[in-house]
Amino acid sequence: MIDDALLRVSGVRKHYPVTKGVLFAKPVGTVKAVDGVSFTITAGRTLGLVGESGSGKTTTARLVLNLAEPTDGEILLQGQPIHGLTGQARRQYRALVQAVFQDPWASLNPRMTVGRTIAEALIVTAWGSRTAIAGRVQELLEQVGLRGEQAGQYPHEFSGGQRQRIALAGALASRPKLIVLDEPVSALDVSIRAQMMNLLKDIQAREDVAYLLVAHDLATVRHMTDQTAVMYLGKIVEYAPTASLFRSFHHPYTKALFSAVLPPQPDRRGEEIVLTGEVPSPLNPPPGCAFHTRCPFVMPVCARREPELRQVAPGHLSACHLDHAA
Amino acid sequence: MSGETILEVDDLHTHFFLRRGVVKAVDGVSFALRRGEVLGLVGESGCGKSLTALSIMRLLPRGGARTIRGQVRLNGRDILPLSPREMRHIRGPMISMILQDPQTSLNPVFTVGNQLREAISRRIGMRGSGVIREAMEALRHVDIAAPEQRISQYPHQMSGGMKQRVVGAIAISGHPQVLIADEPTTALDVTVQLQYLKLLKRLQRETGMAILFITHDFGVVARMCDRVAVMYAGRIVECGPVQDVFTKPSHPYTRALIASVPTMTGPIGRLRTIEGQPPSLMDPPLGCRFAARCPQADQDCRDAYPATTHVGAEHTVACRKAGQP
Repeated sequence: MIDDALLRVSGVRKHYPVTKGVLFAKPVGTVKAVDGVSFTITAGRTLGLVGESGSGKTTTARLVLNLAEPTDGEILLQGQPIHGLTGQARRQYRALVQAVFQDPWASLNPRMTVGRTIAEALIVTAWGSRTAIAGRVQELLEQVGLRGEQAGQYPHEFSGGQRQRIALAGALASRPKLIVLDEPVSALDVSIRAQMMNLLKDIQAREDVAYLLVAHDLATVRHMTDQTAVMYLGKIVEYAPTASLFRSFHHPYTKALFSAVLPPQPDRRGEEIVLTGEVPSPLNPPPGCAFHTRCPFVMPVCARREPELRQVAPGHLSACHLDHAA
Repeated sequence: MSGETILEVDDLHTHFFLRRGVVKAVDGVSFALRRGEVLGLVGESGCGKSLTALSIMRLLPRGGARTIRGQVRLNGRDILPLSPREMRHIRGPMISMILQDPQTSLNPVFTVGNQLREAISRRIGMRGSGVIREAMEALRHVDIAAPEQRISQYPHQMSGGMKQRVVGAIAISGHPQVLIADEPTTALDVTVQLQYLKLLKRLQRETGMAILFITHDFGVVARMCDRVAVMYAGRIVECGPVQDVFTKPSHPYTRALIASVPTMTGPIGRLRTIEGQPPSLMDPPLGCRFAARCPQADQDCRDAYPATTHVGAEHTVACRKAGQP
């Protein structure tokens, strides 16, 4: 079988040791930020990673970006392992996998013109002559809906939405195969958010670039992604084609996430599952199923044994003892 | 819930006086908050919703913000001319506020018990074990388990949701008649947001206080509010019962804003957007401030600011085209 996955993440863990003391630091525990995560991203498609703070979605994104080394497991891009790369290979990887982060106020250098920021990626990879680079920068700005002559302006002259477009132009400069989008619209106003989401979809259609979208807003995920992985305390608890997930979700945590969405219509209250408490500390995750301390459907087995991700519908995986009880 | 008015904001103007010009951030805002109701104040960043709240609290940021015109009547009495000393007696027992970020609302070097006791002893004018009992009760009231342990903890030992509960406990410790909640759940996770909204709603029912709920999220408005006022570029463009505004939005801005929210049901296609940007508030247009982005605008709209008219018993809108398809 030919591996058609652009990115393949298998069994990836990222554990951070926690130490006490300064000079003779003793290990006192491990934060299991990401604990055995597997997924694939197809070329030109979008995978959404959903979860609350502490779920490990941002750490997963950092691992994919090669900004952190996994403790265990493997990440392959086009069949090649991404970690342990050096020199030229590492630079090549950087060109193939780019990122847009949440905060458009923090991600641009205030002392550089936006043209220079966008050109940076082209300059370090010796992409072409100075005039060729200038031409490419103009083209990129136009691609994200700005004007080419705005290349000479500084970030403070742009609004939040425009800055996010500039960050996207910078990410597109090296013609990446994959862009990691870490909450790309959550800092934007409602009306600007819609513009950015439309733009991301247009660019995907034109450039055939894949996205790994890290988000907490389910409606955004529904509109943007082909596949969705729901994360809780460093693990994927449900993984499915987005259309299938929004038709019927299986895991109780996914249920709780869905019922926490507040539809912008009065009197549209579905079944409400209000979870008690908050996400437990990843330093001491509960034994068995990590969600059992907050789960409204908890059974004795949940505290003892960790449920595995198993198929509940075609291509639709869920890690819950309930699904396998029957 | 059409009770009597408890807080009335009338023609409020709060401007920033900067070296490069005057930013008319709040420019003629009027609304009434009734006893026991939740009124949503919704709009995008920079529309003046938070500054309206800070003007009411008389807590304007340093650096040139001044309220230059209008009245803020609390129980019929204008509080804008009051001295800072008199205002201190209003804040707490009369009107109180919850801010977006619990991290910055709490003092990191004092225990939460300490901060709560300070607020309580100011109200009941005593110290000692009675205050500690009250503080414990206040924490229990906002659903904090094991308050006897939590009371001696510092803010950093608590999660975001728990800190925001403590902020809520402090805000209502004076039994205020009006609570201003400025994006209180924006910094919280979604499942925690739902818990917090339910808590606020319960507290509001129990105490009968009125809430001015500031948010940019229409989902939160639908869940929490009785009425909603939509702000754009320093002014309220539409106001009415939540049901009416959501089902019959009468201002083109409200309509466009509601249509641009991605939904959990229905077809997935291109999202509706609002082209362009809000006008500069240093030099706002003479006419309707939304005219430059409005598909229905004509010359009249650009020439003069539209009057506020009724489109329903309690539903008002500032648009010439209101009622037209």
